[in-house]
Formats: sequence, C-alpha cells, structure tokens
Amino acid sequence: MHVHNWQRIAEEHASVVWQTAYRLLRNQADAADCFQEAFLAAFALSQRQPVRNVRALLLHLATTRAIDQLRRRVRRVRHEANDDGIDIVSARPGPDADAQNLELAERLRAAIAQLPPQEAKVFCLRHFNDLSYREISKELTITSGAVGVLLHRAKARLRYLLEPVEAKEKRLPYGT
Amino acid sequence: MERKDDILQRAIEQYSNEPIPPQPPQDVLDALLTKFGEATVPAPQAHNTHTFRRLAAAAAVLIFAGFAAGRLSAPRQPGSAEIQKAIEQSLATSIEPAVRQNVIADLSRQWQATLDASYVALREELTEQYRTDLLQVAAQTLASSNATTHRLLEELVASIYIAQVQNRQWVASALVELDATRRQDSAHFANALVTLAAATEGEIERTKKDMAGLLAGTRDANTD
Repeated sequence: MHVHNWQRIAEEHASVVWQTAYRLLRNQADAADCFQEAFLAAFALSQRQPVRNVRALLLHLATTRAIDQLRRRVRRVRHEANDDGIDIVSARPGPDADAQNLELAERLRAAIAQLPPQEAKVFCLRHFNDLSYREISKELTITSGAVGVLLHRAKARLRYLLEPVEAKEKRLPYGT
Repeated sequence: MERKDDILQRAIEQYSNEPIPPQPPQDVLDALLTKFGEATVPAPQAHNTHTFRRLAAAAAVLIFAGFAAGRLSAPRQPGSAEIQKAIEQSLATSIEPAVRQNVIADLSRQWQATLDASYVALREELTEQYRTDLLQVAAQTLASSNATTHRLLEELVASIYIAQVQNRQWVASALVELDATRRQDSAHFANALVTLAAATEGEIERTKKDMAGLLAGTRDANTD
C-alpha cells in the first residue's frame, strides 16, 4: 500500500484547499475549520483505503464541508429573519454597479446553499476548482453522464435563483 | 446558454475575481502540520512489516542456533518436549517484545485517526447543541419578560379603571348637589313670585280706590 507523507501533502495543497473553503465561506474562522477538517478527513480516509488523486479528494472534502457550513449558515439566517419576513436573497437592484456586483457574488453563495448537495458539489468542483468531468465522476463515484446532468440542473436552478424578482414574476417558477 | 449577459456567468466571474488570501494563516497550517506530525510519529506500516520480518528472521536464526548448540552440547539426545520448551522460551524472549511494540503502535495509530474523526463530529454536535441551548434560553427570557410586561400592563389598566370610577363617583355627587341647589333656588323663586303677586294685587286695589276717590272729588267740583 502506498504511504502518503501528509505533512508534505498539506504544504503542497494548502493553498488550493484554503482558497476553495474561503471563497465559499468568506469567513476566516469558518474557512480554517473547514480547511483542517478536510485534511483530517482525507488523512483518516487514507488510513482505510488507497487514495489515488489526493488533490481531487481534498477539493471534494473541502467543497463538501464548505457547502454544509454554508447551508447551515443560510438556514440560520433564514430562521432568524423569518419573523421579520425578510427574504435572504434580495433581488433588488442597487444604484451602484460595484455594490450590485458584490451583491451578485453573495447571492450566488446563498443560491449554492439552496441547491441539492450533489448538484452543489458538482457545480463547485467544475466551475470553481476546474476539475474535469472525469475527475469529478471518479471522486463522486458517478458516471460522467450523471455529472453532466447534475451540472445542467444546477446551472438552471442557479439562474432561476439569481434572477431578479420582476423577471421571476413574469414566468412560471422553476420546476413547475 | 453561455450568453454574454448571462446572470450566472456574471456571478461566477464576480465570485472568482473576489480578493481572497492566497494562503491559510500560518497558525492554522502549523496546527495541521503538528497534528499530522503527532499522527505519523509511529513508524509507517511498510517499515513495521520490514522490521517484523527482520526480527522474525533473527528469531529463527536464534532458534536454530539454540537448537544446534543444545544438540551439540547435550550428552544425550533431547526429547521432543525439551525441544518444544526451548523453542517456546526462545520465541518468548525474542519475538514477544517486538510483537507487543508493533501491536501497541498500530493500535495507537488507529485510535489517533478515530479520535481525529470523532473530534470533528463531536465539535459540530456541540456547536449545534450550544446554538439550540442559546435559542432556548433566549426564548425563555423573552417569555418571562413578556409575562412581566403583561402583569405591569394589567396593574396599569386596573389603576386607570379605579381612577375612572372615583372620578365618576365625584361627578355624580357633584350633580346631585347641583340638583338640590337648583330645587332650593326654584322654591325660593316661587315663594318670591307669590309674595310679589300678593303685594302687586294690594297695590292695584289701593290704586283703584285712590282713582275712584279722585274721580268722585273731580265730579263734585264740577257740580259745584
């Protein structure tokens, strides 16, 4: 069985794992937790079975944990805002272009948190980590065709979630 | 679907262009490296296997040497029981400590990995529990605060009601007194009117008499 030097692996892949976690969470403490959990989980997994693609495994684990954290955060915010009837995903366009763009990235995070977990993972691994269909299918133990289907569904759902309210009102909701 | 004005495409671009720290904080990386260092201090499995093989070969050589020495030095042919005993003793002295050490190291490594995994799960569970407890305490505090506010409002309403009743009683008694005074004044006025009417009647009678006397005097003067 091949034995990994995890200290060397940590130094080699720290940057990409950190960026993956931080981009999704935008919070240093949460990203640090996610970063450590991903490495420790990969280490524990490598003790039980051989790991062929360490980078893909680390990205998969970091993305999964970051999405879980994001979903918990969005659920919590929604729960706290429920009494006031505040919508988390604000579709109101701002007057300033920068503010609007910033809001768009935040809305993308909130929308990813609303995706089914498998779709969210496929979308993040493909678009934020540039993994190929083949790498994603191996890592998630699904076929390449299934990766394509999940990616297509995720994008359609994200477009619907990101659309302004006015545009949504003009057509039927997604999935009906 | 990859339109230039696609909102998803714009969101992905914006998301990817956001500034982020390129490396994790050094303390986070150091903590991780320390954990890995602690977890990989015992010799790796391959090395263990190699050491175990070498120890087994050494033990076999020792057994063979012991057996040969015993066979050569013995005045008589040893029995199978003696050979078995010699082998057991040799095994006990040569292999047992190494096997014990390997088993301990292996168990320690497995426990470390299990503890790392369970630590993460436990921390998540405790965080969730902490949030739940916090929400519960907040809800209880809010409920008790609501109860106190409700009680104070009830006391305020009761005091306002009492004040209103007292005001009504005072107004009622004032009205009764006013009515009594009005009745008394009416009676006085009626009496005064009767007296005035009587006085006026006497005065009219007297005026009539005076007029009659005056007319009689005037007639007598004309006759004369």
